[in-house]
Amino acid sequence: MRKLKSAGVLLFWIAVWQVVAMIIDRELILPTPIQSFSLLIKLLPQVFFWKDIGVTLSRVALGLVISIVAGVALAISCHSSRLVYRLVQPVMSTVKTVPVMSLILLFLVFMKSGVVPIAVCTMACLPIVFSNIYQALENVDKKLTEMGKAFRLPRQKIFFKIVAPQIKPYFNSAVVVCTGFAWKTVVTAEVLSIPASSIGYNLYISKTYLDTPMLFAWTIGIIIISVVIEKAIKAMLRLGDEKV
Amino acid sequence: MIKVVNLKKSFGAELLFSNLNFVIPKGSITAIMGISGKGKTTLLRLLAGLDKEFEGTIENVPEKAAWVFQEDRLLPWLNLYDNLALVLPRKEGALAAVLAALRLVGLEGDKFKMPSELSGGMQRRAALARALLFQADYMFLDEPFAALDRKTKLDITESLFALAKEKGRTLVIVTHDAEIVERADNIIDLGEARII
Repeated sequence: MRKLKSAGVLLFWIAVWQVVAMIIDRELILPTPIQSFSLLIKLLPQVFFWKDIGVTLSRVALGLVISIVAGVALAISCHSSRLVYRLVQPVMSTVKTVPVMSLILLFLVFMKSGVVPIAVCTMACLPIVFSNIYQALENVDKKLTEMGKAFRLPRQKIFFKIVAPQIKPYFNSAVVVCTGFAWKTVVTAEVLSIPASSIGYNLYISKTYLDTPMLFAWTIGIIIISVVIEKAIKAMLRLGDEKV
Repeated sequence: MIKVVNLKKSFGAELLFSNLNFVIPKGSITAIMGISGKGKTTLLRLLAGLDKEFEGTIENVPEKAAWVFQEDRLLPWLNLYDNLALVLPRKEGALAAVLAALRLVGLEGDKFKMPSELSGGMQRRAALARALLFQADYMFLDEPFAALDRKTKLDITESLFALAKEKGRTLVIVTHDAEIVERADNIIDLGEARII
């Protein structure tokens, strides 16, 4: 029933889009959903379509993994040492406020176009992972940890049974937020840095040649992939929850 | 035997207690009593080695001890069975041991309940069961019978003391309860700063 309602809402907005496109009646400004979806369907059997998606996805994955590993490591270091915290925290707060656009333009000066999206994604996601994990570590119930130590539990058991379950909600939330953010950041960076063979490159080309239906087709593709990835990540995290 | 000589503890400028001298013989039941804020819990933590900042000496701090903390300290994400099994070093024989401990405190039928599904008294009993399950020569109990009705308290005390005597365990209990104090072998009264 819920899925039916969601489908109804989706159909309603597609219908609104169709009506507005018919009123404007200019493909260059707003193509109809039928034009956009049929173009997307034409793209589906093309090898380059999947290859370019794969390249962008690998950049998203790499940026995410680097930011998660670095964010967790920095959060642990800051939790363990006040000095490290005093050094790192202002940097993280500053990075958080820097616009993504500034990061892209800055990195473009000294990085290869293919690397820029990964670097930007890492810089954009790192403060989110860092602050979530740091907050989680600060909020770990010390009395429960003391209970574990009092009962002489091995360190490994204290971590996996007492500490990790308290950190997990913060970690999961960081991963979910960063996945959506990383996806948008990488595509934006690709549009500006124009590395060959990427989703961003295709968006840029569509814009340059005023191929609005193609721009819409790629955008719909991005939305669908984004939803699929988010659902996959949530399912993976749920699976992880069950195993802990 | 834990031996305490000239023990002094203060938090900053505030002196909690000083010049404490006593022994806790092996296999005995010792009650620590006194009005709130006199440092009963702090003394218990010092005796168990959980707090190491003090003046004086404490000899023979036990390396391993079972605990009932002032708060129940059950893990909210584990059910009752897993909370208890957590303190066992091995999985073999865990089921029977956990069930026996739960039976002793009357919670055998609640083994799969989460701590949030238990009343305050039931959580207290679960914390007691966890301490009973843990194999150690010493048990440190901080207000273990708080939130229990009198009948349950007396039943559990009976089992706990009998088990302690049978296994030669040393019990150190922080309590306000006169019925428990009466049954102790030694009483440390922090209110009066004297050993009875």
